[in-house]
Amino acid sequence: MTMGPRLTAQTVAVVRALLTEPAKARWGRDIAAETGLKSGSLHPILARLERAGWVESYWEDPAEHEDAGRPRRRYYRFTSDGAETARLALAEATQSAAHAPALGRLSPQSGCA
Amino acid sequence: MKAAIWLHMRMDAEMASSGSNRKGSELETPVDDAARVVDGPSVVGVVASRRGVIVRPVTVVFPAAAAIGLTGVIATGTDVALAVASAAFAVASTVIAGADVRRNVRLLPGAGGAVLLRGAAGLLPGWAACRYREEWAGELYDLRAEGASWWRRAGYILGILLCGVPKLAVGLRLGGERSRA
Repeated sequence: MTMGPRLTAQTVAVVRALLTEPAKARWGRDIAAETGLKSGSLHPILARLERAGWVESYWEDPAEHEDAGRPRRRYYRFTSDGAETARLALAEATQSAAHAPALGRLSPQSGCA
Repeated sequence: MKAAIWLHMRMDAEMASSGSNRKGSELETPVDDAARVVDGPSVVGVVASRRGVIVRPVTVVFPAAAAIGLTGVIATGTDVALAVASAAFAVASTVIAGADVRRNVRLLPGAGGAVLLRGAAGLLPGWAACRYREEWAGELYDLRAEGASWWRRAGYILGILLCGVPKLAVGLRLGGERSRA
């Protein structure tokens, strides 16, 4: 049994978006735009990934935002082990989903003795 | 919302009629020659806005109805005056309330929206409240800087308030991750 965040469809979308460039840090609205999720759904997912140790977050460098005259952003990226763990978890989830339709054949059929 | 209207309905009805219709030992046709006094439903209007609190006890319904001739009571000059005053009060309070609401609604995705997000972040654990308060304010600022429409910014705020904050408030406090059993 692997410990990790619950992989809902939305969580999978976020993980896949981050896996396209695991080393690149992105901020919340970037990830929301790529996944199509609203920020209200995205932030709890990112919080779960952080608590699982897959993702880390940090504040933007002051030199980058002070010149632009805007508030600092929060960036998210995979940890050193997080990307690999996420890939394995996704692969397991995909295999589980592939086997799930077979369970339907166990349901009783009408007319059976 | 900075304006609110409290309405208090008070139903009073009293009718005064002339005295008995008995004259001697015979009953006569009742003659009601006294003025009928009917005090209909009263409305106390309270409008609170940034312009102050306006409290007016106003008898609305009956004087207006009497003035229009919808009742059997002949409208007096006082009824007509009350009807006009109550209508003016209703219009004025609606305008004040509407103006304040419109003003606040225009401000909502801006300064008001940031205030809402800051307040909502207070529901989160202490260490998370500061962080998300700043993070959401920054995202809202960027939305405004990009020229996002009022509706889009309002949708962002509502999404955070209705979805993000409750999930984070529970998830961050429960702690731990759920095993994928």
